[in-house]
Amino acid sequence: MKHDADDDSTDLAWQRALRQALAEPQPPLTDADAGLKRLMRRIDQGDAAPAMAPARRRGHGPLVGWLAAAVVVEAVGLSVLGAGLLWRDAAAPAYQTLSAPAGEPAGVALRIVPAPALRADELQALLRGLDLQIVSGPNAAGAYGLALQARAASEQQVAAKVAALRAAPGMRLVEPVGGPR
Amino acid sequence: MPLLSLIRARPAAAPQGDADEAALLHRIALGERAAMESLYRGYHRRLDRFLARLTRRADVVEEVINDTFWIVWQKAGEFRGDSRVSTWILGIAWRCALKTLREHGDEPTEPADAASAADALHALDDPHARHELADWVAKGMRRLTAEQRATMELAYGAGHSLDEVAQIMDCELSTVKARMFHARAKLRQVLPMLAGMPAVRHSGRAGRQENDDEA
Repeated sequence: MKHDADDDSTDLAWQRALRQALAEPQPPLTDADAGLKRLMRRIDQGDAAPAMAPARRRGHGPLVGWLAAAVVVEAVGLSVLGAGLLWRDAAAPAYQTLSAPAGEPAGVALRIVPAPALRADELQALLRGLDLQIVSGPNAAGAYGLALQARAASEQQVAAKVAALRAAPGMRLVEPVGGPR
Repeated sequence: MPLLSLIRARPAAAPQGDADEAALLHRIALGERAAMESLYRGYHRRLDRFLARLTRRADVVEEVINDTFWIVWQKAGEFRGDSRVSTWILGIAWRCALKTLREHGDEPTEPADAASAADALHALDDPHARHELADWVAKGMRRLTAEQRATMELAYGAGHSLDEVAQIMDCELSTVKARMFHARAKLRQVLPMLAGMPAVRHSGRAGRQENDDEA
């Protein structure tokens, strides 16, 4: 009996020591700031492309059908991103990914990706208040092209609209269309 | 005689209250980047530590953290509060880690150096020596399977309850207990001298209660 009690006591002490050693603070392996920067860049780019991760996590269901759908969605996303790379203006921000697809109507001054939670009437009210109108979209990435109601919009006017939209809730991405207009 | 089970009183460390974190998730679901940044900063250290138990490759750790928060960004609106936010996020991190580790393959394990451990044990009042011992224990951990390492880190390192560990790793409670049992058995072989370690009684962690679970 005493032998068992000694064994238990030793085991408990060992576990306690193990727990303590495992709970010791460890220096981080990675840099939080650099990681956050990369994450935000990914979010900027990813918001413009259909998310693949959720597609992968869906149930097994009719597997072939889902795989085919995923391939189609991916192809569309890659096309949009590819077009974006070709059309990107040198002055445009490096993270801009919502580039104009071929055949986009003239006059598109900026593009937005509203959050899914934003209701249509809320979006309409927001755009009406800023004298903006939807002239294209949504494209495969869920992006809309917007035009200012004033015919000749200056860069300052576009910048003001961009700032106002970014300040509004429910906007995932707001970017001016690159180049003079 | 089996060890008596002692119930853990210490909750897993939470830099923000769960309600605050749930509010952050709600804002993230609306596309607020500032909320995303706040959540990221609150969890980076925890995820880094958890994942560092699974791999020593910083690039892989960063990749998994990035994947985890990318999914959080996409799925924040689906969080319904059925679990703690930390459990939800760590569950995502665990699944991302499994996938990434499978892609990168196994890492070579380092042999545990018993002589170094014994040296560290003799100077445990010295914080540096305690770190050294922690490093040595970390080497011992690398002899375990990924599932065992994750279980031990979540339960012992991060202080999650076994129920939470089961939720995070999406397995039965009995599986968690079995993993801990086998992990401890393996660690016992490479860390036998931990028993009777004097520093455990005056290291400032005396308030922590054990959850010696599968007794």
